[in-house]
Amino acid sequence: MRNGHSHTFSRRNFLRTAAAAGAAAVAADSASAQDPRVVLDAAVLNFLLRIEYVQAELYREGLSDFTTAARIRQFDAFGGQPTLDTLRSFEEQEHAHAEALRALILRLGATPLVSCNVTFARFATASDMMQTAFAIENMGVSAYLGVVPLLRIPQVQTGVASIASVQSRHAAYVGMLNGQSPAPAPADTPRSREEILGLLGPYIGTCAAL
Amino acid sequence: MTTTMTRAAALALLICTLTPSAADADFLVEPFISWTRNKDTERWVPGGGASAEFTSGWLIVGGDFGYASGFFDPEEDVLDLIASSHVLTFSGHAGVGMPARNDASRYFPYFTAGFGWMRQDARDREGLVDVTRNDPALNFGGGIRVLFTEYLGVRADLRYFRSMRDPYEAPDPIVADLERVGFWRLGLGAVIRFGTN
Repeated sequence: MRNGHSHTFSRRNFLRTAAAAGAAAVAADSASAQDPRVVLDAAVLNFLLRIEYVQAELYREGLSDFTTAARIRQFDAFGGQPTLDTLRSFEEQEHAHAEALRALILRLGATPLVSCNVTFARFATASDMMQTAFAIENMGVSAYLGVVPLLRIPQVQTGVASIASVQSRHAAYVGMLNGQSPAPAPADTPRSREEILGLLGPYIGTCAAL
Repeated sequence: MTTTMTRAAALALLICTLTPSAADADFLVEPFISWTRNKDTERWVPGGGASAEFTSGWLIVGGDFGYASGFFDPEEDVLDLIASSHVLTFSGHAGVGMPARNDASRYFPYFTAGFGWMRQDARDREGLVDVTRNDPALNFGGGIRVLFTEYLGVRADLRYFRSMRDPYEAPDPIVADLERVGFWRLGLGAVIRFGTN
């Protein structure tokens, strides 16, 4: 097992805008939720943040397990270097998702989880990592699907929906590399809190708030 | 001068009409169960409370408290993210209503409006977000009392409450569209009358 990591990060249009606005909100000393109607939206965002921390750490730790030539060759069955590059971009995107979610929480005046202690066992094979990625990406899709109807604030809905669609792309891509259909069913099913926390349980420990 | 006298006469007539003798006074205690409508979550949430009113002829003066549990909870929270939420109101009111002295009638409609305090609270299951607001609030509404005996009856009351305070003092654009909290409350309950006539 390896030590978990907090996350500090980056990019992309909506995400960068959201982050900047979040920082501005904090600077304006408005980091105090003043209306109970934002509590549900903030709770949803913190729940998703937990998932993003796990996903980001999956790619960071997973890819760090495949740095030698022999280990990298294991990915030949999954497309080789281009796949590794894509997975690295997924890691960056998960970081950006986490940053955007934190920024939205701050704009609501609520307290975000700033880090979670996430650990993955060393992946013995590329196939192990891809199977784990497949499970976790699909868990993310079902989690986002479950929360969208709960959100009340339009800008939060937009932000979460824009991340949810990327989650689906990740799940489809990883699924195809694993020999699965990118769209195995005409409709996805949201999972309950217990199911999602059960799936995260082996990897995630305590989380810290700001 | 004539206008002033006319106004004074009209006021005197109104006072005479609305001010009954002490023998017409009633004191009413009215516990109720309620359903409160949250337009944001589009739910009717259960609750309860009680009113106490002094009536004298057509005049009604009283107070009311009400509690609605789960007010900020969504209809279906598959992720069970809200630990608890509620809204609590405590207010005084005044208004007019048909006096209970008419022995031939069992139905007594009324209308009142008032001012008081609205407490809103919601907290998440993670313990990260806990918001409590205490707002001044207006209310108005009306209903009907139906007395089955001289001292007992039932009441239906429909009342609108509205906070008089903005949701955010310096709103970020993300929450700028939030309106002041307002909701309808339907209360059904008993009437216990302590009348003097």
